[in-house]
Amino acid sequence: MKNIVIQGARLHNLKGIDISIPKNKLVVMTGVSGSGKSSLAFDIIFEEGRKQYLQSLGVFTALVEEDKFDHIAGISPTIAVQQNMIRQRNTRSTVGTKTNILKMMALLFAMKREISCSVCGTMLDSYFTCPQCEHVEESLPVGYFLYNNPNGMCIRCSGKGTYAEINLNTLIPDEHTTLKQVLHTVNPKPGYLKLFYKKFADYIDMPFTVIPDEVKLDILYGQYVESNSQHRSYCLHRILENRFVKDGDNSGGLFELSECTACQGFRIGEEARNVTLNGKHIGELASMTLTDLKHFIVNLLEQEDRQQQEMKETAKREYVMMQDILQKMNSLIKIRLGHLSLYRELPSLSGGELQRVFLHDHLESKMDGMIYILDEPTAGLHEREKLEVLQSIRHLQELGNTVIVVEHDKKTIEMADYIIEIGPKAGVEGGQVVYQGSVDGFMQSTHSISAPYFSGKTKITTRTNPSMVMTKHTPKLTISGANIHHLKHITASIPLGMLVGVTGVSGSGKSSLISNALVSLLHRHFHQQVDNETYAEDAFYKKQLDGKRNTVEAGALEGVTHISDYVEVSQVPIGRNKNSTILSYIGIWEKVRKLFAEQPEAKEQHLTAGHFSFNTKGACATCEGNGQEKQWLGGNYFIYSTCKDCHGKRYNDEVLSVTYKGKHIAHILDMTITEAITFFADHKAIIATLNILHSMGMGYMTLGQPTPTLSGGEAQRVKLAKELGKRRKEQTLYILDEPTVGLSLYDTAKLMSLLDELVVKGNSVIVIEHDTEVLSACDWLIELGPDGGAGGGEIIAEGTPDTLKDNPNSIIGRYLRLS
Amino acid sequence: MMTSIYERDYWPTEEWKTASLEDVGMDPQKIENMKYMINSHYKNMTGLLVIRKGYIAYEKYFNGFSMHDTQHVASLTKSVISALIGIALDKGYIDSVDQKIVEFFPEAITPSSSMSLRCITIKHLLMMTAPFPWKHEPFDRLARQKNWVHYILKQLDNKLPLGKFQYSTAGTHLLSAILTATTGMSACAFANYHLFRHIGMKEIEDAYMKSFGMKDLFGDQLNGWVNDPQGITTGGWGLTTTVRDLARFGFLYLNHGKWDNKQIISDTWIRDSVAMNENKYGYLWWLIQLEDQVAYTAAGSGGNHIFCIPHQDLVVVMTSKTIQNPQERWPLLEQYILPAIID
Ligand SMILES: Nc1ncnc2c1ncn2[C@@H]1O[C@H](COP(=O)(O)OP(=O)(O)OP(=O)(O)O)[C@@H](O)[C@H]1O
Ligand SMILES: [Mg+2]
Ligand SMILES: [Zn+2]
Ligand SMILES: [Zn+2]
Ligand SMILES: [Zn+2]
Repeated sequence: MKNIVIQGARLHNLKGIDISIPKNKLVVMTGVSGSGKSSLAFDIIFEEGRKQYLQSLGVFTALVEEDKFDHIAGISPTIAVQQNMIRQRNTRSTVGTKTNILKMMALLFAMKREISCSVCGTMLDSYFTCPQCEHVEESLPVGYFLYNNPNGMCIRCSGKGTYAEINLNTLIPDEHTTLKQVLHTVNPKPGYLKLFYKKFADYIDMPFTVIPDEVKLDILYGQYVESNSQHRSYCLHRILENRFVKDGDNSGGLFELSECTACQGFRIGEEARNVTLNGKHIGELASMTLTDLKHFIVNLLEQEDRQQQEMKETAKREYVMMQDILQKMNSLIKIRLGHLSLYRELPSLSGGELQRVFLHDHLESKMDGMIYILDEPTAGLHEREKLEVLQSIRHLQELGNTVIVVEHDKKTIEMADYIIEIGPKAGVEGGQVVYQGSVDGFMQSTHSISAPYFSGKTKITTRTNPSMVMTKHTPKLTISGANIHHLKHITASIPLGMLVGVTGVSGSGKSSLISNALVSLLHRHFHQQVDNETYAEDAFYKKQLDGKRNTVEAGALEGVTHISDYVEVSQVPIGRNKNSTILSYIGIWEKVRKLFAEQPEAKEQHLTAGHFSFNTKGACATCEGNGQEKQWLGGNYFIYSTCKDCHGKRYNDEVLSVTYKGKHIAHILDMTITEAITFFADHKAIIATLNILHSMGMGYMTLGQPTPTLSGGEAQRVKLAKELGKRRKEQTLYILDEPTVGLSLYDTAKLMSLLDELVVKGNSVIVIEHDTEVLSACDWLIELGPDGGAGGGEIIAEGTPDTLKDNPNSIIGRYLRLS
Repeated sequence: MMTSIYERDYWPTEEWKTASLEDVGMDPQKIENMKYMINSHYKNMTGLLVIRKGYIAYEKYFNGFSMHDTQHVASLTKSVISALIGIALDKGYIDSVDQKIVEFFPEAITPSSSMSLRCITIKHLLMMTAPFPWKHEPFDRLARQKNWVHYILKQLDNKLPLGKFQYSTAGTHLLSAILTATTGMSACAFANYHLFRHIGMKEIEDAYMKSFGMKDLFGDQLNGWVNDPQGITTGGWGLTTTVRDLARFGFLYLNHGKWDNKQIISDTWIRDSVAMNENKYGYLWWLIQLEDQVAYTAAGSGGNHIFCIPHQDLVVVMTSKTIQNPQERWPLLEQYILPAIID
């Protein structure tokens, strides 16, 4: 079979389409965000491939088939590397564990090592008897070098290198601080506060320090209980940890993540820290960038070479091991991951980095006859870096595989063997095949929405006030002495009232400069000042705030008076809570439910706003508000079917009997954004954010769509709309971290006109970006570099896009579009 | 719980006396049936001793072992440590089980020591509810430490809540260290002086340790009672003794700590040690809920046990060679030994 053939695909918004995908080729699937690409590539092709694979193992037998398509043929075993599928939560997995390099390093350490005498500290060479004191040191097994192994992990931090805990000095500033003050500082919800007051009534006015230790322990860390997931009774640790984990809120420094003092953040125990290679223990090596580590290993190998003649059998094994490590490292560096370290936690990687770490596995595996589906593998890459990643992907195809790449990137499209565009637009306006064929044909296509952007016929944006240039008189924000991470004490001036692009190769320090240094300086300026005003009369709080002020050492900031506020939209994905919907996420669900509770029918039946929430009182009793019922097929397999009582409406009949303008609450959840804007026209508070979503081109989305099912690009923009929807003062500074990741050029154009509008209204916008189209449309660019990691951290060029084009120091300049 | 106090017509201080199964009210046929089971399912067993009404009613050795051989009884050692803590309390070396353990190791506590560590009591260690941060206790790692006690205290210097049942050998080692800190003797010497010699158990020597590898600490060539690099008797394992001496220890518990008119361990300690609770674990004794009675056992890995069933005036000792995944021993009592009782 030469093609994968799908007939009558009709999942989600797909309109019964027929598609034929050539095998053993590099195929790009593109289309505007929400057009149905992922539904086709992942939910149909990948799911089918996986199913056939499982069937071949005899696993799947009794599966009730969802009606996704009429016919499918030509599927072979399929591997998908999807962004939200590999989104990692587990901070225990790191680049080192995922790539297995850490294990190989541990083996190397267990074989070859320099060890210091644990009695007197003298360095021993290959013999384990100390020449000073004759103490015999035992050799250390592999497990001792691994932070995930009970033998190897630092006991203090369980191998995390950091621990999050209550900052007692901040919580209890001095010996006069009473329990009451402590509780008010933590500020739990009133109900819980009452519980504390009741349980610890005898101690409430006592200075905290004189309370008996057992009671202190109970207040701070609780007692072990089976019944909740944290296995602690209600205590301050639980409150603060919850806020920290769920909302990323450190409660003003009360709960902080700090480097482990026992292992200095190296994750491993003392035993392994005493064993070194060329003076470095495994924790130090695993904290280096891969590029630095590579040099380190190369050095070791050179030393080995010199000793070749006298090489013993064991030394040969080490030599082979080092070669293996080097090879793996090289392939990671080649796909532009050299700035990462082995200890870098997977959840902290950008989507593109994570893709490539996973891709690396497959590039190594040398399997053929497979179908690979990749989701935007070049996301987050600088133009210069894309080439090698694309070569690797091409290599994967040349091994004899079919590679389907879901992508909006021009470079990727240009090198594809075959293009499929789904569209023309999103949601109900999409779901059709707009184009399938060669790249050349694609660029000529008259049906395609995105082709004109690629061929340059349509520009992504026309700025309202073109050519704003920074002059002496332009108000600006200046950060000086920024030295977080690898930043080299730099001074950066950001012109205000403009659209400013910050760019640079991955790891060059864009996020360090903007998301870390600038944002923490802004936070310090705005929020702590507000805190101070609120509690000005309360000396107790003031003292604490002063304590917090020194926690960030980011540099100095000038010119803050030119802005009135700031907003940051980061890349952190929207939560995966299945009860979260667009409506609740953008914060208008409350308002809608209140509106329903005010209706006469609701009042009659004593239904409160709470009843109109499908996960509490108003839920259909059969499915508990899921709308679906879960059925177990045995093993790890479940299927979901629509609830037979509420027919997927999620509510009980009582709640559904209440209507507003003829619609009940489940109708509202099924409405599109466009419909809702007309329906709620008189309720300004409800439609404000909806209007923004509409102007971003997302009017087709339904209000009740669970946020975990949003496509990548949709999720980004919903987040952005939520921020933009908050009532802001003029002269606000908006900071966006790669807002175009996951967006087609068509969607990017919509986003850009929104940003343009913000600037026109007198605000300032900073975007951290790689997209050359977006950068070309900026008023001012700041480029960091020249390389990633320790080789970066400097400003290599700044100016208008035009001047950067002629600036020999600029790397991005030559990729910018001539205007 | 009903407390049974039995009159004894002799004390096995010098020697155990033997009686026939019938004489002590047990059915020989039922016991005979057990043999097949042992031969087929309990191949690693080395000794089995049934004491009823103070007499040896049944005694068998396997795998070349005899009544004179000493064997390492692994974690069964913990229950002996429990008895020693009780004696130290009776004698006033320790004030109460609610005493904080940091009082005994002032050098290990710093201003930054955690509240959890400061709040751990002797009772937490006895009941295995101190907050250790591990899922699987790494013995190899413990063995490599220069100072075990400091290492163990470091593990406990964390922010975990207290009260979770977490079986830990390291915790028991701290109890041995507390005995040494308060009495100036090793737990082994303390046991000889205050316990073993009074009930006819052979005195045990502190093992002479040349090194502290896994073999030296857990191997099958152990002698006496092993200790750590500071000379502290291992609290969680390391005792080597005979089957008949183990029976003496169990018999002491059955007699409420009293031996031939002398109170060796207070009755209250023994009651507290085996009081039923939700973890079914007393003061280093495993508790077994029978219909309306409580039995208890000292237990060491591989199948080393002293089962005490007070209401039946019964002590059953089993010793075994350590193997992976040994067969559970309690079914032998449940299916053969207890049903054999006919009076
Ligand atoms: N499980 C689901 N339930 C309801 N709607 C869904 C579900 N999954 C996807 N959709 C909707 O179907 C449409 C197509 O989604 P899909 O994820 O296939 O888009 P896409 O083309 O991959 O977009 P992007 O480029 O933003 O990733 C979107 O409107 C999306 O919101
Ligand atoms: Mg998608
Ligand atoms: Zn030495
Ligand atoms: Zn640590
Ligand atoms: Zn239902």
